[in-house]
Amino acid sequence: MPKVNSVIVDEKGDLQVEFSCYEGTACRVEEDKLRRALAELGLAVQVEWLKPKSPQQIEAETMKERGRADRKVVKYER
Amino acid sequence: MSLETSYKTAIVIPKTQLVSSAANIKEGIRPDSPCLEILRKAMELVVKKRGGVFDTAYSDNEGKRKECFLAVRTGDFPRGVGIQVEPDGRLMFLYDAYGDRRGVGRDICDEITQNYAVIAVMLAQSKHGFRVEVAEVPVGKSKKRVLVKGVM
Repeated sequence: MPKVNSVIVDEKGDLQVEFSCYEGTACRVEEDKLRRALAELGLAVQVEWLKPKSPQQIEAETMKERGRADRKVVKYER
Repeated sequence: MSLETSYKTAIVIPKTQLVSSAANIKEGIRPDSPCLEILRKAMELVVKKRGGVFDTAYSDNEGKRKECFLAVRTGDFPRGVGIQVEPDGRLMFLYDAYGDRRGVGRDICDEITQNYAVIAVMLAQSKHGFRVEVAEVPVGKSKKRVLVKGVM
């Protein structure tokens, strides 16, 4: 599954970021890389909160992705 | 593992991109600074959306010009909003809010900040090899949220 970083930029320019489909602690590394890259580009960020996704959230996303993949296979066979 | 996080942001030009630490200098950012490029693009989007021009000064409610680093004057806020770079690189917005009951000046500051953040996130993601997609979600009459999605 591809790695996905979803960033919502609100009306004030503040960010809500979701790092998905990373193995192990790779998302922590990616989070740090993103913050550093933004600072170099003049966007200093202060972390308000940071939390790992729950296993239920991850499972739900995985099922959704599997569902998509299954649909693709069916279409291919036709 | 997956992660969710929330960031408060501020526009701060890195020291390496400042030409001098003197306060209120006119040419406060190196001309080849990526931050200056982003700032110009962010302001240009506001000028295009609202109709207006770039300037190097904004005006107070008595019509006096107040010189600054860069400013935008729009049709709905002709006094303009100015930008100043502080010695520590922090960006400050300057405008005269007297009589601005609809808060247009504030809205212009927010739009410039939001545009800056969107462009910076897009550049940061593409620099790290992500394919970037952007979608706007309207919030109320004239405001929006922007989803910047990086896929790799």
